[in-house]
Amino acid sequence: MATTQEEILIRLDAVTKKFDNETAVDQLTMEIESGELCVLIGLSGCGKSTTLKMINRLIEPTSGDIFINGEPIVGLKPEELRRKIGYVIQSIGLFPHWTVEKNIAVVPNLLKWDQARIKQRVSELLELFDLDPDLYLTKFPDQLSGGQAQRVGVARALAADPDILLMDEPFGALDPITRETLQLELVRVHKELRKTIVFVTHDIDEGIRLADKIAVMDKGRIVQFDTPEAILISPHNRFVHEFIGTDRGLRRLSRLSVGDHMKAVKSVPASATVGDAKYLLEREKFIWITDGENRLQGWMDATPDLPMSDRVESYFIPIDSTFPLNEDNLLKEAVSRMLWQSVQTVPVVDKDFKLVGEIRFSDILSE
Amino acid sequence: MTKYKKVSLILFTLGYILLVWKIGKFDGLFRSAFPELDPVIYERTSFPQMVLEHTLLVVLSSGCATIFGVFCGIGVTRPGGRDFLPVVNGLASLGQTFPPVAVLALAVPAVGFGAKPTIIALFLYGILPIIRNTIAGLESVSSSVLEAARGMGMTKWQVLWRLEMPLASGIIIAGIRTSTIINIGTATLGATIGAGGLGAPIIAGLIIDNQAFILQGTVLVGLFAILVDRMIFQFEQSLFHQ
Repeated sequence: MATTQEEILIRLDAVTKKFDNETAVDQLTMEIESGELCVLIGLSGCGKSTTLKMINRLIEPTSGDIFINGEPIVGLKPEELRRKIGYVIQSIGLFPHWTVEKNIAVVPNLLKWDQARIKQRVSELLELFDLDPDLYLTKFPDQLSGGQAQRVGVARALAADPDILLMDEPFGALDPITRETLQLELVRVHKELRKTIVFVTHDIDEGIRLADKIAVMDKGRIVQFDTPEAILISPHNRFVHEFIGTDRGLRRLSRLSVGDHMKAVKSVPASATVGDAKYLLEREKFIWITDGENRLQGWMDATPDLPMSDRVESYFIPIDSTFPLNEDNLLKEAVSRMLWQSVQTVPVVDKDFKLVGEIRFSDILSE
Repeated sequence: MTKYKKVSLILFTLGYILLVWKIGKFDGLFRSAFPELDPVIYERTSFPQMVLEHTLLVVLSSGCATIFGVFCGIGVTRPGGRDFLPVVNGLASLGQTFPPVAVLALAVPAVGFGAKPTIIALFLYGILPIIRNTIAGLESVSSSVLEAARGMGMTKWQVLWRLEMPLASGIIIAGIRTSTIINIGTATLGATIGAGGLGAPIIAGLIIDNQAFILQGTVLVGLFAILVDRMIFQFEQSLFHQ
């Protein structure tokens, strides 16, 4: 499909849904770009799930039109439309009498792919979610943990390689740790596959973590539709303000990564002499000490009166291996570590523990 | 384990056939148990003949009840048929409250003596457990499975045949099993209006006060019921262990 990054993939035009006399969605108009992860967020009953289900025609709008790729979705049979759109729900809904393999293969089978291609695709998807195909293909849903089951649920939704993925509070029933793992996996998979994802949640932290754009909904209308940064910095009205909460400053820190805000830093090898370190210590309150290959060893402050010819290694203070941050840590964690350890600066290392920079509290404040 | 069960079921079946075929060989046994009776073995119809008649009564009535009950159960759980659910439930319960003897008595003037009124009575009597269990089975399928299935683009028929029926089959077959077993016992009443079957020696024994006849009929009906129960159970097992 010849969609470009900026192209509008999904368009809702004055869509209204009434249940009896209750208006669930009220004259809602929005455009979702191709490749975007769009989060619909709001309180229970705000119409976010209803909006989502109108996109794959599980619910038919009372009035208004929905377009995918410029085509009105009423032009397709609901079943045909749904086979082109991945769908993930909170309760997962794996078919209990089928193996993981057959569960993932549902849509390809409906589309009558040939069996060899289906087999290959299923294994590919299991690997994408770090599930060993040899181990999981023949398992039944009741043999999976909640997190594994929802991974299979997402894999199943992606099976026929749809352009669009609809996710209705997919991680809502998982424990916090599993939820966070799956959120990170979703971000990774989204980066890898560039699917257009519409994601419904009531959890503002989840929304902020995942979204390219957030639509805050209230009483069937969109109150604000913007990037998470913009929503956090300038909430449109009182409702959005209250929804994102008083700790929006902290929430914002969960959008920003350490790697983007750290500063390059000089270090001194442990084999150097105090004299060599002196010129750095005169400008800084302390310096980082590394080994010959730039792996972080410890730190040393500007103690006066050390013999100039002694080696640094006999004076520096070794560092706890859990203290440094990684580049892909979030600023939220950086601040948390600073508060916990009562320090203003934390070193940043790569996966080989090589020093790549440092992050300072003052830099975060000025952000 | 399942293999052992299969073998024992086959042995049971063969044993039953042998017993029916050669029940005359027990003449001496019955004679010593009931010395005052003569004859001690029911001979008006051969036992294999009666077993065949009995099988036919049960297969026809329970077969129709199964087809009718399952389709009714499916129908009233579809969106279009849901309005009929209370009516169907009510009618099926009503069928159950009529004593089978009363149905026989009412059916005879309508269709005459013989197997027909018996089959009608058994059919009506056997529907309830099947409809009840079909509805219960279909409603036991979790709504998240149904939502996921629809959301992925399965048609209503695909949802029914690939998900709902296989997932409900355990409960539905349990209903068919109950219904059939009840019918095997109840079918003995057919003998009172000339439908034959294994009820014949029982009724005859009651009339002429011959306990040996009664015993032969009851034992064979009882074993028949156990046999069919095991057979349906085995069928159910093989469905789930493919």
